Amino acid sequence: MGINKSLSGAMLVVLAISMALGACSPTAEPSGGQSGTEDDTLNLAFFADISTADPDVFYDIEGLAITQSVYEGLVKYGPDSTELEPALATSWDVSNDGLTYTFQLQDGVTFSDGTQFDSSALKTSFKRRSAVAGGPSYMLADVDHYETPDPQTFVVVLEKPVSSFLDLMASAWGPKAISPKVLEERAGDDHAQKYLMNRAVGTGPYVLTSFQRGTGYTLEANPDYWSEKPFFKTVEIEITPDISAQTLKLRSGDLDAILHGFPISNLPTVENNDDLMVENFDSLGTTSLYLNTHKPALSGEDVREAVIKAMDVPSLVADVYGDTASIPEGAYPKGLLDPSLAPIDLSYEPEDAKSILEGQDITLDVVYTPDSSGVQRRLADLIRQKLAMVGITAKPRQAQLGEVFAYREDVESAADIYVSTPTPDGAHPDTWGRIVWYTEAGLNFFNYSNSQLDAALDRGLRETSEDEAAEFYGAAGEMAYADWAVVPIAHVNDVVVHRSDLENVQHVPAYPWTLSLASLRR
Amino acid sequence: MPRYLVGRLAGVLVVVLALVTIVFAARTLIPSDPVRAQVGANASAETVARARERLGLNDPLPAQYVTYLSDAVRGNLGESVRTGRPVQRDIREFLPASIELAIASMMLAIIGGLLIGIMGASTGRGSGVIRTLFVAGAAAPSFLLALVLIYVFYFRLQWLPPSGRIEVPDAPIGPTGLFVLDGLAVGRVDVVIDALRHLILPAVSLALVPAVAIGRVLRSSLLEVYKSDYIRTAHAKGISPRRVLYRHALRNALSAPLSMTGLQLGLLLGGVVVVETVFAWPGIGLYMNNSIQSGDVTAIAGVTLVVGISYVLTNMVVDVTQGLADPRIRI
Repeated sequence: MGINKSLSGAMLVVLAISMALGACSPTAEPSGGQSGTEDDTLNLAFFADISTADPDVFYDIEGLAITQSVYEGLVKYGPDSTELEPALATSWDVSNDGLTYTFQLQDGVTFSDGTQFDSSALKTSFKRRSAVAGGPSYMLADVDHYETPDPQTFVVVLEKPVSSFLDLMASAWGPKAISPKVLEERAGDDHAQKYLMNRAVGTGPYVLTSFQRGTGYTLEANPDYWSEKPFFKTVEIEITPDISAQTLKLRSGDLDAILHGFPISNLPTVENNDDLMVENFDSLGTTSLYLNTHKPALSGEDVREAVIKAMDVPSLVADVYGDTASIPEGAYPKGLLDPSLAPIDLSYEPEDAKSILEGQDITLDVVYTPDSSGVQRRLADLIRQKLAMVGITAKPRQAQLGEVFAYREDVESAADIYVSTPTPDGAHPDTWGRIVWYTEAGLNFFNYSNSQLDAALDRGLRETSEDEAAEFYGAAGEMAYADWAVVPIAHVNDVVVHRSDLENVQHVPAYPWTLSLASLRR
Repeated sequence: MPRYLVGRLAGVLVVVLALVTIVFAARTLIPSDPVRAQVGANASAETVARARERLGLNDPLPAQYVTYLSDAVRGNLGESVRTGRPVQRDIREFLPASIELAIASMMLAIIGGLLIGIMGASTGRGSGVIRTLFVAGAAAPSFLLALVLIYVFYFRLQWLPPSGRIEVPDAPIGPTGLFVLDGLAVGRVDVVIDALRHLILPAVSLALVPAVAIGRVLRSSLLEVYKSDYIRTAHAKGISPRRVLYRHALRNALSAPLSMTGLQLGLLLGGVVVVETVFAWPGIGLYMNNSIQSGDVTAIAGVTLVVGISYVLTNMVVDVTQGLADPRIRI
């Protein structure tokens, strides 16, 4: 008993030390449900590290809040819109043959290192993108040459017309202006890629002042920014991989917003909280079902159509997404093309499906990649339940992205159905069709191929008339729908949960998982 | 003793060689295309081909194995597809955080194990309750335990931070990379306190399971030792129970718990992935989690190798220590 007394005493001492450490907080005031940080500091979180801050290499989604805040391109999309707006270009003109783009540039712009911005600097940046040849370099693949007749005029001459060119310039991953002084002095043997991996020298409203891999990043307001200065002088972005931890920090006031990944099922708990607000923004993200046409079970179009019609897509989407997604009416993501040009019908027709599937013993391997909100897993589970009602055995399982990208190497051994939510690079139909449907395209996971569809996309890309191009893209969409190989089932929204004292919260559908940080106020 | 040491070292080398081979095989056989995932959907075929060439993914398998083995010997673990940096450089950057967490966790686990073991071997009032509490805590998944601790100590009590490693600006980095030690070395009390505050919750999350395991083995060992004649003699001579425990029983009961401690350290290294992810602790566990998410097989293989070798070496140290303490083991 004497032993237990002294041991219990030891435990009490340990507890007391913990409480004392808890009292030694670097912040003077406890958070307690209010914003516990300084008013001019915006606190955000990423779920994972960004691989690089180099805009000519970066091709992820997590991290756009940084690249979109420190760098700028020629044009951009407006808030809640797919319309183009001026950025570093004040105006632009396209020649009738669609080959020459003439941009008038903003005057009085400097890079964050003090270098003057002009057409020559922009030319250096654009050529650097092609030289680096990273993921987003394809956007300049059809460029023949650049001209800089004067410092405020930048001319891009293409080899062939590219109907999506301006949308690629406005893309979140589009070419950005990088200080030519940095590109020259830090070129090394890799066009300054090592230097720009954790640094940024752009023209944007913020400057990247700290890049600590695994920990977080700091942005400071650019004092020489050419346009309206941001309200928040500092943006602190912490790496917080767990959504529960992010949620607790948001409720405590240590985080100002959760930019994505908030579990849909938890939204009702937020909606009753006066300190928090939910924003349901339109986005270009489109949940799609990829059906492996090379597997015997799904080799027939009629079977693929029956599988989709048996899923009861409308109630599936309602169950999983609630009011944070809508059923597609067209083959393209929302806002990319008039749905009437490539309409689709995802209505629930279980009897028709049963009659086609009768007598077939089908087992499907349904794969999804994990996401913090858990919606893809939930979708896969519900698909299993729905297909069971028509006699199909579906087996959902989780896979990492690396495995999914390896499917194209051995498509006969790959999964049968893959659930994914891709997003196009820009608000143009070509940025969708060319990555999802085109033969051997980057997100064409099961090597779906339709040469006529490819031809329609190619014709649309080279058209100089918007209406003519739309017709070709419409035809491509109709063919994709008829093949039932890549089926869009939900236009998903970007759901942002933020502290209610945040104002002027702006979002661009083509810029996923981020807000316009410069426009935010408290 | 020297023959015993040489024998153990030789065994370690064989195990490490086998580990390298297994890691290489897993890295090669896993169906994964991290290159495409990294360079992006619209990357041209030339860009992808260039990336594969640079990473040596086009060479024949035997050539890749020889290259991998010789590189591993020289400490070159390949290039991370995700960060674009040498994996060994990434590990060097993230490892100190994990070491600091592991040391703190093991210290707590040893203290906790001693408490559980000693209280468990006693029949005093309250020992059963405390033992039950520890076992209940250890039964919970580390992920759940971590979240509960954050909810209670951060959200409700606001005593401790929920994530990260340090908040004090300009915290000294180096020479060890462990903020507590580096803070002590330069006399920065604020750094030491802040580092400890951030360490507590993740360390407790990690420590509970090994504490219970060590405690249970210690309890069994103590109960066995208490049956010995010399313990009965000590009691008969009127020596106090506390003195009997600390001067006689505990020393002779430590062999098995010592082995268990070595085993638990290896298992603890495996458990850091979950805990570091929940607490956003920037160690190799978080690095591993990010690598798994992006299918960065090279980085996964590198971390697996380092953790595996650490486990083997740790157990070797434990075995040697036991051999030093107990000559019977060296025979």
